[in-house]
Amino acid sequence: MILALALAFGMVGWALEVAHPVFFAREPVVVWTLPGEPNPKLFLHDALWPAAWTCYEEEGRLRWEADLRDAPLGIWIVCGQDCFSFLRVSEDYGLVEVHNVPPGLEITLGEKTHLTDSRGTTFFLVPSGIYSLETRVLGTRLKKQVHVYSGKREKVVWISASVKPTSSWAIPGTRIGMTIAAQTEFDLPFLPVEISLPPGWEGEPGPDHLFPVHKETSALRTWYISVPKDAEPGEYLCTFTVLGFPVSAKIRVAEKLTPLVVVGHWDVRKNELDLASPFSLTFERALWAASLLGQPVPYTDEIMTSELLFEILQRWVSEGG
Amino acid sequence: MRTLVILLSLGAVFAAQAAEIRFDPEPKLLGKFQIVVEGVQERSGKVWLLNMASGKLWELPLVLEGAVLKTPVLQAVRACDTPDEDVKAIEIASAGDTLVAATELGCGLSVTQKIGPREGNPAFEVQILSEEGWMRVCTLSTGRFRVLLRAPFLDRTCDPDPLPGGLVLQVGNERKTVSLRESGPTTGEFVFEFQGKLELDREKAELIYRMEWAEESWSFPALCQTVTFHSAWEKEHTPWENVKLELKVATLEVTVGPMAVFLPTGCRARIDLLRPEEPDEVLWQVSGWGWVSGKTLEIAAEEPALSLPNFPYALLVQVFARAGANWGKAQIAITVVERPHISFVNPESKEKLESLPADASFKIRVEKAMGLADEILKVRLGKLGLHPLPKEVELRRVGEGIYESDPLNPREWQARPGDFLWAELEYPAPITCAIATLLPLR
Repeated sequence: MILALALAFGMVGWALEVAHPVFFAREPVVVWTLPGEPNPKLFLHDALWPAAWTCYEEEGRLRWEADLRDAPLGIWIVCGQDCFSFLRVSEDYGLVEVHNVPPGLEITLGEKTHLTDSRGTTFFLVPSGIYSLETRVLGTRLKKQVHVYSGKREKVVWISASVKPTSSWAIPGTRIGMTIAAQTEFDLPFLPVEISLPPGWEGEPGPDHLFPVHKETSALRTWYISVPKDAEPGEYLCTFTVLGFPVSAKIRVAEKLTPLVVVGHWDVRKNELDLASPFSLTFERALWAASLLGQPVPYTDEIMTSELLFEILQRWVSEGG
Repeated sequence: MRTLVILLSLGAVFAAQAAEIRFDPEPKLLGKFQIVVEGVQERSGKVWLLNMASGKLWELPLVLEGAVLKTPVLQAVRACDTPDEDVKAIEIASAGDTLVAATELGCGLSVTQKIGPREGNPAFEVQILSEEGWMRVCTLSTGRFRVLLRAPFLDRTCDPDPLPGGLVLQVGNERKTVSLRESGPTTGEFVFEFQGKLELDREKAELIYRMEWAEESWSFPALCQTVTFHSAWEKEHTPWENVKLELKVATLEVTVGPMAVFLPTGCRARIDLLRPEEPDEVLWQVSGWGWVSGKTLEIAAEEPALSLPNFPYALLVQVFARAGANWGKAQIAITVVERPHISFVNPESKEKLESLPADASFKIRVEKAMGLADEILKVRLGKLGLHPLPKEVELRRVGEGIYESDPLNPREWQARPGDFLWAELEYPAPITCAIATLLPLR
């Protein structure tokens, strides 16, 4: 849910947000507003509805809830800074919500076919039963059985994905790694990823990128990103669209690194910096750091002092060294 | 007795003469009269007046008045009556006594006459006991009532006389007879007192009017009811025709709005009690299903679960309102009709659209909208989600219960592929209805 909200927030940045486009009669209507935004107002047939809202702060926003259990069903509009229309339906129907789908993809549930919207979501309001949720991606027909119960909301998260860089810091001319973690509702022949990098940056998939993806298990895939030699120091955004679902990581390019980052990414065997490997303080790296005592630490402006070494060793110990 | 024999003899001897003796006017109880002799030579004389029932005899002088001889003014009174001051009281036991008047004048004249009943037309009156005392009313409601039958001619004796035939109460074809006696020795009035009460019989969902008197009671449906009070004396008792009085049972005026509703299934109708404005109690009943209280009734026609009824079918809503001790009732006819159907349709083929390209035209079509008299039906259209841009769209009647809009385009709502348009039927008051449909755009 937080993922979906973050997605909506990140993509469009609207102030007013409503939990669902369709609510069941017994469900409270949930709305978020930004601090300073007008309090939400509910309208039914253009007339202000005297709703009793409860409100509390949630992750920097205000979460509003209104119990409309005895209010008429149908189309409602809630307005803060913007307005949002939603549908209230009886519990005679069941609801299938599909999230995190590539925008504009055709999704079929039973005999109904919907196109996902710009936020990569769609929904189906259907009688209870067992339905086949189908779509076609990369020439492959994807299918999932969905049990729909009256008055229940069945949420299908097409894909959950996240990206984590091996290092948030880089220097011009180095290569860093990006680990994409993805979980889908379907078996896929491979994990399709589209990358969007700053100009001059290059990306290369790891050897695992053509491995098949099994549904409901986490698939980890690596991408290697090369920072151009002439990259100016600054903050850069690397975006990976995983099966239509965008995830991003920020990389800070600097001329010099901190001694801890250098030690944690030092390839002791090759005696060189390897930002593409995950950060880790090992016995060998701690030993290498000790060997530098009194000497400059490469890629930094610092000398390995006994105090700095003590700090690095303490960190190594605390990480289970 | 000897005098009587003389009188009768005189009567027999002189009956054939031209002279005449008569009562003027015919004597009645409490009525004033004289005995008049005419056609005789004498300028004075006497009359003997005999009450044959009591044997009492009066010797009355005859005085010449114009061409006739007259006795003083006489008044037939009973022991319980107070005669007028300027009259000669002739005591009788009761109306119906026979008087014989005789004179020696004209070679002997006599006349026999029965004392007639008291004068006065019979009449009914109904009164209610109020703070100012008994007040005449022309309707029955809740309170203490008395029916007053004024029939002086039925006051015959010095005892409270019975009302011959009794007082008959009639409601429809039902009758009850109440035995009554005169309210006093000489009143000539018969009084029937009862407690009237409007009640709600919840079991029958009916307003009942209950009359209680002595140890008896009588109840009957109150609405639009007339109670008739009438006398039932027989002709032999009196020349007067029987009298009657009809009174309606007055119930509280109850008005509701609306009085008739076409209610689609799955929709709600709100019915308001308009009058009385400040009732003490309001109870609603829908076709015999329990009771609901409150000034407003919200009625919902649920979707039939097991068996599909044949549409339309009728429901009867009854509302009973009480203000003080007075109840009233109103009825509302509900016709449950099939739920109207709203859909996005192809502008040409009129086929229902399951989805639509975001730049293609559509029409809104409503079917089975029964019970609407208007030529125009309003539908609200908007986009689900942010920036809904709701608009009111008019649909024109194109057939029986069928309405259609002009062609519309999703662009009017700035809709894009993946969005949903919604259309909601704005049912005219008092119906509240969620008749909406969605159209996914592709």
